[in-house]
Amino acid sequence: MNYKRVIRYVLIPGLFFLVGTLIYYCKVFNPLMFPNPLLVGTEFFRIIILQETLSDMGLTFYRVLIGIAISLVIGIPAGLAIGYFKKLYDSLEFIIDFLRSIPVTALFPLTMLFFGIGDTAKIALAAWLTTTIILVNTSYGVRHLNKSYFNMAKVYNIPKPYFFKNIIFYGSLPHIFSGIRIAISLCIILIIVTEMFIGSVNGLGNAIINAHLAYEIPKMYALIIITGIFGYALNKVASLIEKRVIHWTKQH
Amino acid sequence: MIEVKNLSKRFSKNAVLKGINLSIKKGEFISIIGPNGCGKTTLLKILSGLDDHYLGHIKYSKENIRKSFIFQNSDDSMLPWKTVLENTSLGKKISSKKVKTILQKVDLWKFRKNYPYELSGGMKQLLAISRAFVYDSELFLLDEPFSSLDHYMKTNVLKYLLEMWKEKRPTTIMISHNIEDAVMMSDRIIILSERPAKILNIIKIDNPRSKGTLPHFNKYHREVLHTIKRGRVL
Ligand SMILES: Nc1ncnc2c1ncn2[C@@H]1O[C@H](COP(=O)(O)OP(=O)(O)OP(=O)(O)O)[C@@H](O)[C@H]1O
Ligand SMILES: [Mg+2]
Repeated sequence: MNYKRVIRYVLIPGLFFLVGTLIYYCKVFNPLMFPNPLLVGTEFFRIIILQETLSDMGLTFYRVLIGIAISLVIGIPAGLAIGYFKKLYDSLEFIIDFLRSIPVTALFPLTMLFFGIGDTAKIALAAWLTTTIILVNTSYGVRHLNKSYFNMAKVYNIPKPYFFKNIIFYGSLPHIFSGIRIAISLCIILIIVTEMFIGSVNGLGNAIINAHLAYEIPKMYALIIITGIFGYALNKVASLIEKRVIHWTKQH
Repeated sequence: MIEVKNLSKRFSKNAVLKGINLSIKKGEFISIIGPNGCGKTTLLKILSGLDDHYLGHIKYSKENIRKSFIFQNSDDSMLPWKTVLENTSLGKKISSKKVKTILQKVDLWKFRKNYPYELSGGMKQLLAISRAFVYDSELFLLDEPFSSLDHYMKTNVLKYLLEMWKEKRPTTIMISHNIEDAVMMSDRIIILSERPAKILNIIKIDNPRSKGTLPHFNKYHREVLHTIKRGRVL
């Protein structure tokens, strides 16, 4: 079994590295744009060893996390209510669909007007984006719950609090989690972008743009890879939690 | 307990039930027999209040009758994310001793911490049965409750059901394809025709649930079979 892991984590990335090196030595691109992968590698390890980006990473992580946390606190209860109460869904469906159709980047100026260019603005944008995703997924989960659960609750006259918590909420968890995964990916994208362009002095996005402006291209590549690893790790943690919580959907 | 007058039901174009008249007394054990797809499950769902798209009148002797329903597909009566133990009580206040007794009766006690997806089809049915028995229900609606049980377990559960039934006398409506079970358990057997289901015959059992009366048993068994055959010819 282990050779599969070797292929996945060592051989294929190694192949990418080799192809990169080949591209570099064949001078397919200007070496200023496409530096020697070896150089990028050295930069990568230098940054890691000197812990240069630790605080940037921490700040990006903090912004993503707060954004997601807000969206869970607002999006899940609102999604459950909208999914459960048909009248609420019918009245709000259009406006929610409309609001979430506005590309969140179009809201940059508006957010700056309200919150300036600090952390609040970035987190507000992230929270807006992720809340709409979580809300829509949660309400979808409720509306697509198997009808048999409602039948069961009705014949057995199950107490309402138990019904909401253990049937409606639990039953929607698979959809809530797929919402969370999408939300995390998009939230990272958004936070990195705001760190680049909404007057930031820190964060991974800011580090990347600084390396670019200073023309430290190998460093920029290394930072991009670090950001990739960061995103990968967050997604991995989310899917590990999901696997633990939603044990009943795995097919044997 | 339940008064059914001229009940009809259709799914879009297809008539499923046609002019069902039925009067079910409190404490009565009724079995329903009929061919596949004739409308037995549909009838049971209507009687339970789960389906109210029908024509005709149904009158209950009281409101909020405490019900137990064993669904034909046992997956329909459990929460996949809850253990066997939690699925038995479903958030209701039931003495844990009672839950334990019932789960032990059906050999599920040692699986109490397992999840439904870790059980076999028959075990799931036993879980649905445990749930139905654990409540003090006044009305039992059983849709082929023993269809996946092995011979030994079925004999056991039948015996248990009868014991419980004799003690509490809940009104019971059981769908079964097993004529023996129906004759052994019921006060009356209702035989339905092919879709759209009409009542072909109602057989009243004299001296119901009495043991060791084979000739008596055979007579009813023959009568049920005869009605079913006649229904197929019609
Ligand atoms: N939701 C539905 N929509 C359309 N038709 C339905 C629906 N449910 C059941 N039917 C139809 O109604 C008829 C009766 O179904 P029902 O489940 O009551 O049969 P049954 O007597 O319980 O059969 P079986 O012995 O196989 O369980 C069937 O012909 C079926 O095709
Ligand atoms: Mg059926």
